[in-house]
Amino acid sequence: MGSKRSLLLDWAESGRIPRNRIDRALSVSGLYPDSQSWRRFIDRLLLWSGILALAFSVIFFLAYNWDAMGRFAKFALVECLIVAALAGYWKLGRDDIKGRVALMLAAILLGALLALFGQTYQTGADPWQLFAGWALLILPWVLVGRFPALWVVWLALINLSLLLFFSVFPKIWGLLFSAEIQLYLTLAVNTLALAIWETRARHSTWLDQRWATRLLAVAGGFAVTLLMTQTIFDWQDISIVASIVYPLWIGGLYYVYRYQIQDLFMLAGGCLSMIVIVTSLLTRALLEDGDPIGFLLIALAVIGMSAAAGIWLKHINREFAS
Amino acid sequence: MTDKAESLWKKLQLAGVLEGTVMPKPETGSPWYVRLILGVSGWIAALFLLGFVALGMEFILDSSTASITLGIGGLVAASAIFHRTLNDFYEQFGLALSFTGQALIMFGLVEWMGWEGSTPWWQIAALQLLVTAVMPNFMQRLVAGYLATMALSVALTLHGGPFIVLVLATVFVVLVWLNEFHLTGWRAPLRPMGYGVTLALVQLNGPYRIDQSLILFADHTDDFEMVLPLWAGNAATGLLLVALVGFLISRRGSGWPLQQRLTTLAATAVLALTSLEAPGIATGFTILLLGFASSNRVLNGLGIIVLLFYISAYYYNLQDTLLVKSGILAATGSVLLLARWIVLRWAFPQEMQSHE
Repeated sequence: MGSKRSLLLDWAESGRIPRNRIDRALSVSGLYPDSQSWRRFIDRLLLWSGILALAFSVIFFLAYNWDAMGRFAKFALVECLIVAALAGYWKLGRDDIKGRVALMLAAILLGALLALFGQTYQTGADPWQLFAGWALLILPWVLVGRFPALWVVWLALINLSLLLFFSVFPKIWGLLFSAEIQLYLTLAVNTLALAIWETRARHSTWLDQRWATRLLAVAGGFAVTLLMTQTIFDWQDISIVASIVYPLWIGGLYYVYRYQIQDLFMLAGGCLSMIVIVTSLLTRALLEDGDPIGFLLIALAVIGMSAAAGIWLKHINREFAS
Repeated sequence: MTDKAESLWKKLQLAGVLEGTVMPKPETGSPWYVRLILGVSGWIAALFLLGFVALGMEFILDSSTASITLGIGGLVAASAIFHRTLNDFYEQFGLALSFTGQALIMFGLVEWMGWEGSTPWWQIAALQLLVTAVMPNFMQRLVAGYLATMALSVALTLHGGPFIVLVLATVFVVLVWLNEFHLTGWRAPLRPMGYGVTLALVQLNGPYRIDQSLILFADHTDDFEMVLPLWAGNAATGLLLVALVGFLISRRGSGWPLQQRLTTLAATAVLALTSLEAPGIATGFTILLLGFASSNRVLNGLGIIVLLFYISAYYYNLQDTLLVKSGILAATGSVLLLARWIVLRWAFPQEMQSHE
C-alpha cells in the first residue's frame, strides 16, 4: 500500500492525474477503504480502546488506594475481572480478536493485582520484583495466546525488571554491576529475543510482524550504540569488549537484513548507529583541545555520512523493490 | 514495483482518470524512517556548525546584528541549495545550514530584545512560517511545522489561551490529510507541514506538554487570565471529530443507507462527549481516522501514540484525583464499547466476524 500511495502522489503532483479526477482515481485504485474494511477498522478501534480504557480505569482506581473500599472488595473486584477476561478468552478463542483483547486485559489486570497485593500487605517488595513476578505469571498465557502484542508487552516487562533490578542492586557478591553490564544484559536479552522471533517467524505466520521485530532491534541497537559510545569516551575506565561486540552486531544486522530478510528499516537504523559512532570517534579525536575547526570538520563529516547513507539506502530500496 | 505501477496505471487508464498515455518511470521514494535519519543527522551537523561559530567566531554571537545577518545568510544559502536540487550531500548541507541559520537568527533576536513574555515565541513561530515558504525541502518544512505549532502553543498559553493552538492544529491536520492528494503546486508545502503539525499534536497531548506547565506557572502571576475555559477546547476537539466523520460519510459513503449514516454520526457524537473530560481521545481518534481513510500508516502509528501518550499524561494530570479519573476512564471505556455495539449492529448490520 505504501508504494501505491507514493505512485498516486507522484502522478497527482506531476499532473498525470488532473485535480478534478483525483478523488475518482483514489477510489478506483482501491486506496480508499471499502465498507468491509471500515467495519473491521471501527470494530477493532472501539474494542481495543474501550477495553484498554476500562483496564486503565482499574489501575487508576487501585493507585488511588481508596480507604472507603475494604481490601477484600478491592481484591474481589480485580480477581473477578481477571476471571471474566479469561473466561471470555476461553469462550472466544485465540483466533477471534475479541479473545485476544480479553487475554491482554487479563494480563494487564494481573499486574494491577500484584501491585494491589504489594500495596495492601506492605510486603516491602522492590519494584523490580513486581515486574519480574508479573512477567513470570503471565508467561503461560503469552505462550498459549500466540499474540505478538502480548509477547512485546512481556518483553517490555523483562526489560523493565532488569533496569529496576540494577537500580536496587548495583552490587552482588561484591561485584559491581556497572551501567556497562546492565547495557550488555539489555543487549543480550533483546538480541536473543530478536533472533528467536525472526527464526520462528519463518515457520509461524502469526509471528511475521515487522513492527515487533523493529522494536526489539531498536532496543538492542540503542544498547549496543550506547556501549560503543561509552567505550570511545571512557576507554580507560571500562572494558573494550564493546569494540568487538559492536562490529559483530552491526555486521550481523547487515547480513541478515540485507540478504536474508530484507528490511530497510533495520539497515537504516544500522546507518544511524554508525553515524553516531563515527561522530563520537571524531569528537574524541578532534575536540580534545576545543579547536573550533574540529567542530566544522565534524559537521562536514556528519553531512557527508548522512548523505552517503541516504544514497545507499535509496539504492537498497530500489534493489528490494525490483 | 514496475509491475505494480503498470497494473495501477492500466486500471486508472481504463477508468479514464489519467492525463497522457505514457506511464512515467516510477521513482522509488524514501520511506519515512530514512527521511527521519537524514533529518536527525542534519540537526547533529547543525549543532556542530553552531559550535564552530560559537568558539571560532565568538564576536558573531556577541553582536545581535552580526548573528542575525549571518543567520539570514545561512538561510539564503540553504534556500539556494534546495532550489538547485543538487545531490544528496548538498541537500544535507543545506539542511544543516538552514538549522544553523535559524538558531543564529534567534540568538540575535534574543540578544537584541531579551527573552521576556511571549515575544520570542511569536518570533520563533514567524521564522518557522517564513522558512516553510522559502525552503523547498520536505524535512525542513516538517520540522518548521512542528516548531511553529509548539511555539504558537506556548505564546497563546502565555496570553491565557491554552488549547487554542491544539484546536487550530487539529483543524489544520484534518484539512491537510483530507486533501492530501490535492496538495500540488503552491499547496505542496502543506504536506510536510501536515506531518510536523501532527507530530506537535502528539506532544501537545502527551506527558511533556510545555503549555500545561506554563499554565501552572502563569496561574501564580497576577496578570494571568484564561480567555477561554478549558472545556471549550475539549468540546471543540470533540466537535471536530464529529465533523470529520460527517465529512467522510458524505464523501465516501455515497452508497450507505440513511440508517447507517445516522447511526455512525450518533455514535461519534456520544463518543465526542467523552472528549469533554478526555480530549486526547478525540484527537487520537481523529488522527487514526484520517490515517485509515487514506491508507496512511504513519498517521495510524501517530494516532496510536497520541492515545498512549494521553493516558500517560492523564495519570499525572493534577486537575482531578485518580478516583475521579478512574471513573471518567470507566465511563469512557463503556461508551466506546457501547458505540461499537451500536455501530456494528445498526450501521454495519452483518454477521459479526472478527477473525484475523
